[in-house]
Formats: sequence, C-alpha cells, structure tokens
Amino acid sequence: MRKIWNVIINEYIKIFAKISTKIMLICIVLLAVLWNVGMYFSSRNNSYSPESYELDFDARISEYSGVDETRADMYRFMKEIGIESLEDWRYNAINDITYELEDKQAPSGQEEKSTVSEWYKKAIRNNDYKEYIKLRMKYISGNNALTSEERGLKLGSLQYLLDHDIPPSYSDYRYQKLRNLETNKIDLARQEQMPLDSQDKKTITKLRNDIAIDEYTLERNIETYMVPDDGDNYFDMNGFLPVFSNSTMLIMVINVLIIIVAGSIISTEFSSGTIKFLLINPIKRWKILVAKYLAVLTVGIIMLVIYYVFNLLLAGIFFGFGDMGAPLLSVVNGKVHAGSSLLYVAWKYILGSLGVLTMATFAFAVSSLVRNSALAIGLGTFLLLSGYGAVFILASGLHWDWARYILFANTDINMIINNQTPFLGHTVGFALIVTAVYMVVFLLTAWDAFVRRDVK
Amino acid sequence: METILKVSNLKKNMGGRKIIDDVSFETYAGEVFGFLGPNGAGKTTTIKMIMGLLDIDEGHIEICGFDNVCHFEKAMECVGGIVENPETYSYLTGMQNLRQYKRMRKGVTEERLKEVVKLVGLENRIHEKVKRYSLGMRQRLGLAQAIMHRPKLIVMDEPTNGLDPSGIRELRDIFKRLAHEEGVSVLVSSHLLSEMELMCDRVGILANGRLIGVKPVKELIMEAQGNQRIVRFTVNDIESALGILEERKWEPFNVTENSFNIAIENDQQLGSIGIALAGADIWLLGIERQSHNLEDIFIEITGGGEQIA
Repeated sequence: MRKIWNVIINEYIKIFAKISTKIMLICIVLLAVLWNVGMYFSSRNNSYSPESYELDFDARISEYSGVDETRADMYRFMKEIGIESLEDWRYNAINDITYELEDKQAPSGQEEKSTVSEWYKKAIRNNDYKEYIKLRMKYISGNNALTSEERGLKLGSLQYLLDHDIPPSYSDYRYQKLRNLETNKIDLARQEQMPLDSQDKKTITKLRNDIAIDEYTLERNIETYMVPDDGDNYFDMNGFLPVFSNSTMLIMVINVLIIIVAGSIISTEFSSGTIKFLLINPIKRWKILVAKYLAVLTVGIIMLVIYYVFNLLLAGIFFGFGDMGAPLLSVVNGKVHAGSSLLYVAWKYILGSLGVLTMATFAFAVSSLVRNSALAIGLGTFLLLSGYGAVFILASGLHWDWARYILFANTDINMIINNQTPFLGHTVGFALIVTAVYMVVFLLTAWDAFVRRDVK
Repeated sequence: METILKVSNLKKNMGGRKIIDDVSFETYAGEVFGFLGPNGAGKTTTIKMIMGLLDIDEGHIEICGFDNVCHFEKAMECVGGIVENPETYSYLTGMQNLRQYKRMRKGVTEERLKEVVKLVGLENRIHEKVKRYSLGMRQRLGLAQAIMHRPKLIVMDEPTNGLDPSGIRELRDIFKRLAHEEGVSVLVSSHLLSEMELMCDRVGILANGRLIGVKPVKELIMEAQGNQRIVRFTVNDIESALGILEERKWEPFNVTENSFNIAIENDQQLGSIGIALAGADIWLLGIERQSHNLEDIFIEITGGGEQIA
C-alpha cells in the first residue's frame, strides 16, 4: 500500500506540475464565475419590474379613458391616494376589487355595487387593511357564484391574514402562499371530482405535494427553502439556492477536463518514453496502474470540489449567503421532510460525478490500450458529446428499446431521477448496474493492456 | 566470484522472428560486462527482458538470486539502469525527476540524492527544468537515477550516447570505480567498441540474436593476435605479387595499387611470403603489422564487415 501511495504522490506531482492542468483549474474557476455572473444578469432581466409602466398613472389613464372607463377610474383612484409601489397592499386591493366588481354577479345580493365599492374605497383610503379584509370576507360569504368549498378556502385564508396581521400584499411571502394554497386546493378539488379514468395522477400528486409544502412552510414561517428537482423547475427561480443547485448542469465541462487527464496519464508515459523508467522500479505494474487510476479519480473529485466551492462562494456573493441554511423540503407519502439544501446540492454533485467517473474510466482504458493521448482524449470527448444524442435518436426516433443498455443512456443519474430519459421504467438501480458492468469491462481492458503487454 | 545476473536459455520471438535465440550468460560482482553487437543484434531486447519491460518467451533471468518474473519486486530492488535513451519528465526539474524515483525505491535519502547529483556533476543545474538540459546532461541525470539506490546490478544501454569525450571518460571512471571499488556488477551495451575496450572487463558478443562468445577483453584480443595477425605488404609490382599469392593459395585483401593485407597464422608463414616474393624479384618496400583491436575482432566474428560490403 505504501508503494501505491508513493506512486499516487508521484502522479499528483506530475499532473499538477503541467501547465495544462493549471489552465484546467483556472477554467473550472472561470466556469463557476461565468455561471454565476450569467445567472445574476439573467435574473435581473427576468425580474424586470413593470413598476415604471404600471405606476405611470397619467399615461394609463389617458390610455384607458374612453376605452375602458372602469380601468381608467381605477388608475385615477390609485393616483388620488398616491400609490408609489407595486408592493403596497392597496395596489393589489384596488386591482382585486375592480376585477370583482366588474363581475356580472351581484356582489352580495343586498347592497348595490356602488355602495360596496364606496366601503372598499373608504377602507383603502384609510390604509386600513383589516377593514378591507373584513369587507372581503363579508362579500365572499355572500357570493353564491362560488362553491361552498371555495368560499371556505377564501374565507379561511382571509381569516389567517387577520389573525396574523398580514397585509394582503405580494411583498409578504405568507400572502403569496395563501393565494397559492387557495388556487392549488381549488385545482385539486376540481381534479378529484373528475371521473377516475380521466384524472391526471401526476398533476394530482404534484398539487398535493405543493399544498403539503406550502402548509408546512406557512405553519413554521419558513420563507426560503428548496424542493428536490422534479424535472421542470430548472430556471424557475433565481436566488442563491436554485443558481447553486443548477450549477450541476455544467459538470459536463468538468467531464471533458477529466477525460483529458485520464486520457493522457498512461499514454504520455509511452510517448515520452518515461514508461521505461517508471516500470523498472521495484513496483509491480498493477500497483502502478491502480495508483494512476486512483490519481485520475481523485483529481476528478478535486475538480468537482473546486467547482462546488467556487459556486457556493460566488452564488453567495451574487445572491446573498442568507439562504445557505434554508431547508430542503421533500414530500414522502404526504408528509414533509426537512433536510439540508447544501447537502442536497452536494448529493447532486455526487450523482453528477458518476458520469465523470465513467468517462474518466473509459478514457483511462483507451489510454492504456492504444497508448496514444490524442486518440484517447478525442474518442472520450467525442463519445461524451455525441453519446447521449445518439441514444436519444435510437430511443425516440427509431424506438429501439435496447438502446437503454448503451452506456450513455445511463450515465446521467440526475436526468434519470428527474424522469427525463426516453425509456420507460428506467430506474436508477438499472442505470447503476449497466454503468458498473461497463466500468468493469473498461478496467479489465486497461489492466490487460498495461500489465501484460510488452513495452517496446 | 559472486554471480549477480544470471541469464539462462533466453528466447524471444517477435512477429514470428527469433529476436533472441538461446542466450545464456552471467555477470559477476565487481566487473564491467560489455554487451556488444551491431544494431538489431538484440542487445536492447535482452536488456529490456532483464529490466522486466518485455515478456520472456523461454528461459530465466535471475538477479541477485531472484527470478525477475516470479519475484519481480525483489529482483528490481537490485537493479538500476537506463534503457535506450535517458527519458525524463521535461516539465519537472532535475531534482524533481530524481525524487520521483526516490519515492519508488527503498532507502534513498535526500543526502544520497545530493551525493549522486555531485557524482554525476549536475549540482549546478539540478534545480533547472529538464527541458533545458542537453542530451549529455540528461544522460548524467539518467545515471544518477540508475545508481541512487545503490543497486548491485547497473544496466546501461548505450550510455555514452550524447556525451562529449570528457564526459565519456568520466562515465568510464564512474563505472570502473563502482565495479572495482564498490563491487557492483555493471552491464554496458554499446556499438562504440573502442570505448568498450577501455571500459569492460569481459565482453559478450551478440549477433542475430545469438551470443557468439563471452571472453575477458584482454584474452579476446590476445587470442586474436595469437592466431591471426594482419600484415600489410607494400610492393613495387602488385600484379606479379598477386599472381604468386594465388599460386600459393594465400588470400590477400584490401588490395591497392601497390599494397595488400594478408592474414597470417604464424611467423613461418610470414617468412614464406617474404621469400616467395623476393624469389620472384619483387621488391618488398614495406612490411607492417596492423594494430588489431576489438573492432576488427568484432567485425570478423559477427561477419559485420561482409554485411556492410
């Protein structure tokens, strides 16, 4: 073991003394910088607020007057009471009541629309959101257009606002959540009322999970949290956690870098002739092979760790470290479990590194077999870049199910977890077994070529 | 004498051709053994089998009593050497290169590294990147690599390549000292035969994969001088002289317009040639004995001269 360890140290010295390795490490840091800077600017563009447009009341009034008097009146009222921010609860309130009073249904049966409107306006003028909420409750309880469930839901969330002194503004995450809960619950009820055979199981599960998480976070006052990827929440959100978590998408680049290291670690010894000086030491060839393989794997891990740490730091710098301790909330059988988000992202990195490991092993085997760096690196990179595309064409275009046994159908575990593979019933266990079989073949090839063949 | 390297009945085929055919020899502690042969004779192949780089088809190699296949690590602890060119990691310094080997061998200290660096005369440049070294300097670095762990057997493939005359002299002195004073067995291959003559105690001559003979250098030269001497005759009438030689069935070679060489077996024959030529009225303008070195013997034995012609 001591001998293997010493050879590993030798390999590290050789790898890290090379300029190319230093450039690679710089590339990894640059990659993290690029990702975070890119996400930072794209988040600023996405969250472009319509504030200047919406709050330019004179322009809006002239736009709607004569076309849509109700709306023009609405903006006049906003201008009158002097709303300065979209986060002001009164902005939402005025929008809501305008929309509701436009409704064909009579507001409550007894009072005239104009009367109701005056009451609302009074509460809004006084900046008294509690009074406003009470009026809303009164209006909703008399609204026969809603089902009793819907009424119950809406009243419930309004009561919650009253009880917890929450203004009905989207600037408060609890209000957002209450509104989310309302719509999700109504959706769920609608789905469940449908005949069994036309129910969409996936949607129902998702609604239930969302509801469970919203209730859980509302109960515990958790503002920021993370949910495990389910395949369609890429780019949904910005902020520390999603940007940090989605940095795993660029692990592909690290894959290419590790192919370069793995594809040259044996073959450069041959091309430079130093193999003859390496193998005349009192160390059996298989020990040297094992040491070189371990060196490749650990260099891969080092690259991933560097990428992880820099993403963590940069995401923190760009989006704030405040969310670092946010929990990971996952729903299992209807119950919400809280975990660590940082660990979850680390886990995503580990799953992502399985692909790195496989490609490194492949390039290592080719390097040992053909003793030619360019061929090993070229073949490795080519297969890495084209492999999944080829599998996808075979599976989706030609409907060849056996393509699931091709290595590249199984290397991206994150994708399989997110159900993004073109194969039915493609499980992580299956992928791991297929990958393991390929790895064994690669390693045996490397072994045979390195330990048994002559060094000419 | 202690046997350090024992090669027995070594055979190797490559591409259906016998590269090494039944080679056996031994080297002893305290001697420099020269491994001679023209290019393609199988010197490097044999050395690579000794160093464990090539598989052995048949036969055995023992180093310090350890079979180099069954007890590879034990056997290799006793060997140091250079196979073909002194290859290095050019992006590392000379010292970093040496430390690579230090980590893979037993009992090499930093002091020992300094000692060997001084011995090979690289102390001023050892912390420079090897890519700036000349071939001679890399050869010295390779030598330091080969001797750092005080091996009992040092195997050097064409060690004088790229060295200047003074470097060759230093190398010769190092090998002689290691062998004669420290009791190391040194195996040197070369085609620079004059060099071997000065350096080696014994030589093994290899041609077409076969070991033609193993003899002490002195004995080999004496033997050759005893049996066959080459004498150069200068005459005034070459044609008549050649006619007389043909009559007597003596075979001249290297014939010029007024001289020829002839290999004679003893003094009597030399006398007879003189009398025969003088009797035919041919003037003997000069009779000189050609100096005879390993190179001539080597070419005679291996038939290298004929191949070149």
